[in-house]
Amino acid sequence: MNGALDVSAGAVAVDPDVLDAAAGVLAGAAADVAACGTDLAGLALDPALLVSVPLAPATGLPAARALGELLLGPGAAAPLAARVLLLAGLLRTASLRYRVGEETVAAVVQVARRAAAEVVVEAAPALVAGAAGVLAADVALRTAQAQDVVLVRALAQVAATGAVDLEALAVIAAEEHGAVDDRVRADVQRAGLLLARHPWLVQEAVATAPAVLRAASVQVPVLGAGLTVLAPQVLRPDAGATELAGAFTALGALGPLFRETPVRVVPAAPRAVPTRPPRGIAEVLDGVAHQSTGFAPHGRAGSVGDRMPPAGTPEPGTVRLERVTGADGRRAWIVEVPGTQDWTPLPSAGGTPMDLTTNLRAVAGEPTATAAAVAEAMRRAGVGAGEPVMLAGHSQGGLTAASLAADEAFRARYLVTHVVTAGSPVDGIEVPAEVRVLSLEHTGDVVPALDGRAAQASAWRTVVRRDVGEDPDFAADVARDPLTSHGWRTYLDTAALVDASTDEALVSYRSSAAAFLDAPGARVDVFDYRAERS
Amino acid sequence: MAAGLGDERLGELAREAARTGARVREVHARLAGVAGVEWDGASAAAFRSRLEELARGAAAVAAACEEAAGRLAAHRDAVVALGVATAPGAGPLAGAV
Repeated sequence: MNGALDVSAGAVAVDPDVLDAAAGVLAGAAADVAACGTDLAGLALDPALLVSVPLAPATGLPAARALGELLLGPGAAAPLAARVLLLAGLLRTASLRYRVGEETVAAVVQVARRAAAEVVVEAAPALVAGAAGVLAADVALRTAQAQDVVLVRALAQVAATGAVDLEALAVIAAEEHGAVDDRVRADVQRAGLLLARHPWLVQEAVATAPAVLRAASVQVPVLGAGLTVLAPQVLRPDAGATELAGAFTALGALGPLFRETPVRVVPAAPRAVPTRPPRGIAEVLDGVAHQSTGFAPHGRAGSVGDRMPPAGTPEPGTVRLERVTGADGRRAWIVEVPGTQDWTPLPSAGGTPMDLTTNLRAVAGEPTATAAAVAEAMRRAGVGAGEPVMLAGHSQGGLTAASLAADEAFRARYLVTHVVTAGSPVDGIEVPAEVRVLSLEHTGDVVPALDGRAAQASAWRTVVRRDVGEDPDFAADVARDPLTSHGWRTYLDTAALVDASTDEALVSYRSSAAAFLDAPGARVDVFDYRAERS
Repeated sequence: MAAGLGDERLGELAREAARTGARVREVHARLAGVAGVEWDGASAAAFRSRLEELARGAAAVAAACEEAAGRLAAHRDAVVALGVATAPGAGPLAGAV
């Protein structure tokens, strides 16, 4: 609440029940407007529209622009819903004042303000003009809903007991505040599920989004002005996914969305310690899987090849280094980086760096907290300058691995010789030829398509594509949930096929990676770390 | 464009945008109705001022939905005129879905 409406319990009386009823009407109206906003987002993302715009741009762009204004413009549906809900909150506050007096209400408002993370609500209108408007508006709406719940509960307490229990309200406020992230994440995932059914569309949409933004910025001056200041690179004729991601991360300079933070790395308790070095790519990726918060033990042994004892889900932010020492005493390192663990657009102290902000910054070619965490973990573990390093990751972890391998300063410090990625959008990252890259990509996986480019194999990069939806073992799961194509079970299965393959390129890759794999007399030591934003 | 993603779908998008506009018009009416709450004084006046602002916002969203519906319908007509989306499997994006 911003205090623009100064409600007093002075000479003019009003029936608080009337205010409560009016607030209820407003809250219902806000919910309906929010639902309309969700439906409009679905229209704007519909494959039929996105695909047909290039066919008939003279009519397609105005249609897309009209829907875009409903999502991104100053008169968009979601921020309107948030403002209606805030007005409902002001009525509920007025009702409380009439019922329990100014002092108590002031305390309730304080509780509600904390719950509502008001800074986000205040920042949202300015951000609505930007490329992340939909997300910002969603955060504002979900935050306003949390605030409304606190006020409704306060009114219920007064109705039942004639007083406000601030301690109980604080608990409710904390719960609601904590749920804002989850609700925003669920909204993002709902939109993601639609796109997951059409991975090819994601690639097309990301590739053409800058062009659409350029066209829209001409027609919507406030959007053009915002992009010119925040992310002029996205308006360049040759802009692609990198520049688009940069437009999002530029918002971090203005508010809490996508704001980069320092990262802290501390040793983690040993967990799922391997008994030997990995024997192939599947066991390397299984090591990565064991660092994922989405990890679930698979099979009776709990790990590929029974290399590790059964283990539960790890803490967020864990990174593992496996130091493989050969019979001749030479050492090589495998760095295992998990994928996205938190879809919040609001990085905060104590949170995992493996979040949406790192995704966008990595695609934009900017330094990330996860990469910094990996580098710090390697420094702490004592990785030597001349010791071969294999960087392995799933999803965002693969993006981080490829980004580090492409970082000249990082390579000057460490001898990166191999990269393994599974389901990662790494096609826009220029890893030098001296690093051998193995990329596993499922054709039904939406995530590798997020770079807006088709995967290109080369002398230094081996790309393995597989349609797991065609495999009888996975077809039913893929049909039910297209995100199965991005999951651990399918990628570990593909990695096992890679290990068994006699394809010349794969045999060559495995042979070149011998220093990281099990052999007579070889042993392994692990170094586990946990990274968190500070 | 493959089956299910052709001009018929664009027509459905246009109708859905129009229906959404009608839903927002209905919300606009409910907002206007709240202005009749029996409450007087400076605070009530400020409340009504903000309510009117939001009602104008709802009307603008409804109008924008109707404009989007019209533009989608025009786009659907243009795509039909190109003859690329009327038959499943036809056109430059055949097989893309």
